[in-house]
Amino acid sequence: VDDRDELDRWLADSYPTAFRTACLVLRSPADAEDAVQEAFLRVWRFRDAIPPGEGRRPWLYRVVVNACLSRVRSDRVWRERSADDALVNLPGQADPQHDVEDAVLSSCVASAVDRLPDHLRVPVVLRYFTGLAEREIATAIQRRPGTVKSRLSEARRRLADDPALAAWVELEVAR
Amino acid sequence: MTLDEVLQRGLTAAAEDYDVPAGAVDRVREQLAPMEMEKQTGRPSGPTWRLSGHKWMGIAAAVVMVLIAVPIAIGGNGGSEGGSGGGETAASSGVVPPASKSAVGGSTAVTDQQRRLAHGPVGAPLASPAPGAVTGGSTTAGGGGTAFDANVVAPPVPTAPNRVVKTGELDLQVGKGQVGATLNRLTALAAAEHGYIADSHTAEAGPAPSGQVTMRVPVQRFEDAVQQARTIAGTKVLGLQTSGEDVTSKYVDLQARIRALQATRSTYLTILSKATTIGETLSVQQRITDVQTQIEQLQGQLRVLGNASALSTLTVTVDQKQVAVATERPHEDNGFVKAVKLSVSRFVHGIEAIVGIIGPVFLVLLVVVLGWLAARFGYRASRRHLV
Repeated sequence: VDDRDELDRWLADSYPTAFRTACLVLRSPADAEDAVQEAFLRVWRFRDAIPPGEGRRPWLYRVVVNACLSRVRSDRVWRERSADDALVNLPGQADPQHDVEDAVLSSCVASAVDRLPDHLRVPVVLRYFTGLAEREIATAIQRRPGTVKSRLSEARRRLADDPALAAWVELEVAR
Repeated sequence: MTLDEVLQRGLTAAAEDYDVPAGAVDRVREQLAPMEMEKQTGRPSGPTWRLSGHKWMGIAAAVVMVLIAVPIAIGGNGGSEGGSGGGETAASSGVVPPASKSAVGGSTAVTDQQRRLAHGPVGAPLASPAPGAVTGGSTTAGGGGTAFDANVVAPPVPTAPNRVVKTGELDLQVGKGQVGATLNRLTALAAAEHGYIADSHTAEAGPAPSGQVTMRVPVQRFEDAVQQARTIAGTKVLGLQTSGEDVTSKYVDLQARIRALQATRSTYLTILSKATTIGETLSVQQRITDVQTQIEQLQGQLRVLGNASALSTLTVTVDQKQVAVATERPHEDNGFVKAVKLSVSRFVHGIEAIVGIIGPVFLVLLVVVLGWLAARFGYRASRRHLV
């Protein structure tokens, strides 16, 4: 990307999704903002390396995921995450303006996804929230597509065993 | 609705709960400004001489090695303290590298307070400055960006307190009359270790007095309690067996299952509030009851596990030392002595047999005499009548 204005616009447009992706990985808006800021600064610094065309989107999330994982590895984030783990995200904590059913569903899904280990949670977030394809996720996490496929499969298997999610699927099917 | 759809819908809803901080993009731009200035003034930009976290750790490790090696080489044992001190310093700086932020172009200008103000309450409406272009579609992976390391490795395990169930069995031997006193000392020991006697029974009467106490002491004091018990004056340790089982994973697993079930219960409660027919209501209520039962069962298991891992169990058996009874060793007799003994034995047995038979014979004689007297008396009486 040679045009700095275009890069600026692209990053500004990408910020909300990148920020929320980081939130789902880190479960901390403050840490997510730091991580995304760090990632965007890296993108700007190494803008000459941004691949052209459709390849730049997974490349951006590769940088974002790296920044998130760097923060996950730090003790500070782990302390906060451990404290957060003690709390169950109950529906009452969600946005009251949301539909109550969506609030409950988001709480269940977020809790279940949060219990996944990082190497499974990141592909799940990139697949189901960010909307990346498996090959794009492979680029983002620098693993082979086959690895991504198996990790997503393993994550689905674990999530299917989650009683709350299983109840949702069962009830939705019953409807 | 399949699991994929549930995940997609749930994660999207969960992500929307996170408000995009107002002015975040501008803050990124503020951070970018110095970089642009550098570039415009001709100062080197791009990958400048900045050490990554891994390199800093490598340098720190090398410094530690030197700090350890030099004192050892110079002063032998004297260098061990300095070396270990250096290691700790390097470890702490390596785990949380201070250069993690500066590596991307200086410290961030956003304070925690600013961030909190920007995020606002969770329930605040979304304030996304621009919609994120979230579209699917496959593409070939780009090849650039080799400067970034994306090793997805397992993060450090958070330091959670280990939960270990400790048990022990101690066999003590005491002198005569010391069983009761030793049991009293063990009771006092349990109290001194902030524990209690969970079970106790004694059998002090009889030829072999013994007793057994089961002490519950805090798991941190288990080793101390064992040491104190085995060194009670006047006792001898016959046997000691201790064991420990790490139940941390079981405990954490139970907690996670309880949380998941609580989330499930919340889901059902919400669905219950939306039920419109009696059938739906009854069905959901049954599910809530089932989940509640499971929660209570798991909470019970959690309590048991918590209790077992909080208090260790030490069972002490106290036995009185047995006085060795000298048993007469049988010795072989020669043939003559054997014959005499046999003869005497048979004589005694004969006497016994005679004495034994006298009783019945005497009884028979008595019956016969009485019968004869009765007959004689009856005969005379009848003759008197006839005369």
